[in-house]
Amino acid sequence: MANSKFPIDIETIPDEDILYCRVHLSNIDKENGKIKPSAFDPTPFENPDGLSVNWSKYSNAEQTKQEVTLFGKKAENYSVISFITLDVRNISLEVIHSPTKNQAHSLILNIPPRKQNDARITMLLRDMCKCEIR
Amino acid sequence: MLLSTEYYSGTKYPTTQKINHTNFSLFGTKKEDFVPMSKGELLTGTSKIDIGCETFVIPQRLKILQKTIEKSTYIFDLQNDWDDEGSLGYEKTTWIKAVHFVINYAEWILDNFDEVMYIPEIYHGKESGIDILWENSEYRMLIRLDKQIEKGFFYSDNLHKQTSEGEFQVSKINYLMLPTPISF
Repeated sequence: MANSKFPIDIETIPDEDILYCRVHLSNIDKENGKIKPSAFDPTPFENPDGLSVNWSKYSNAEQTKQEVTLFGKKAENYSVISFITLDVRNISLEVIHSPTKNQAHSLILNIPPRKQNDARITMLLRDMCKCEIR
Repeated sequence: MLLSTEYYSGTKYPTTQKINHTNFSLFGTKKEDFVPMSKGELLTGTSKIDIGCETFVIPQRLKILQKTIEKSTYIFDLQNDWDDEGSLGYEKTTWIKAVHFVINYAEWILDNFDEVMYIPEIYHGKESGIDILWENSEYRMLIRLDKQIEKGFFYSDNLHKQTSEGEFQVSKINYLMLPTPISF
């Protein structure tokens, strides 16, 4: 199925595939290297309940990091983490391919707004991610 | 920057046994956590944490919270678009109220259990709110406070997959209904 805005087919992301996600260095504790919980909150300009990620079929960690330079941002201000798609789906979040000009662009959906289980989802995402690029 | 690869091992909590928590534990008290007290503080039984914009008066035994409070002052330096993604900045009043929340919680624990709470990290949170995180190899709790520090949400779990979560109004909080971050 093609996205109406961009003539790129929307595909189904297999459970075993990897999702890469940028983390701004402000969201990493410099003293201990841990990711701050706010790293897993969708940002204001994205889908309100969606966390933008890149699908490994069309991208990798380094490309995910360097992609910010297209938006005039400094790649060195970002770290890259990854998730296994199945892990994300196992905590009742949805993973969809959502191509833009970037064919790899995907979304982790249903990250709850500020409510009871918000803190739980945040901690579980934090558990399952793996650091790809410091 | 020190980044713990062990932490990002991909091994799911709570089986991340290879983390060396003694290096960056938020729990327990390390030598460097202790802040010497003045003669005046010893006489009054209270200590002051002076951050410039606010002075927090706390029982001497809670002086151990000073470093984590000082560390968290970075929060009100975060201006709009601090993450290059358009996120809003943080207000000092939000941070001050959040620190008072931590201190009040610590004082309640001290009064009721005669224990000093584990030392949390105080981080910037969602939508200009504040996150308070207690974490060690056996137990952890995240409290997320909103920008107005009116509502809070918590999630806690331990090595035995016992979990607890809920929400509260800060002004009417019953601390008994929160997991208590001390060693029983």
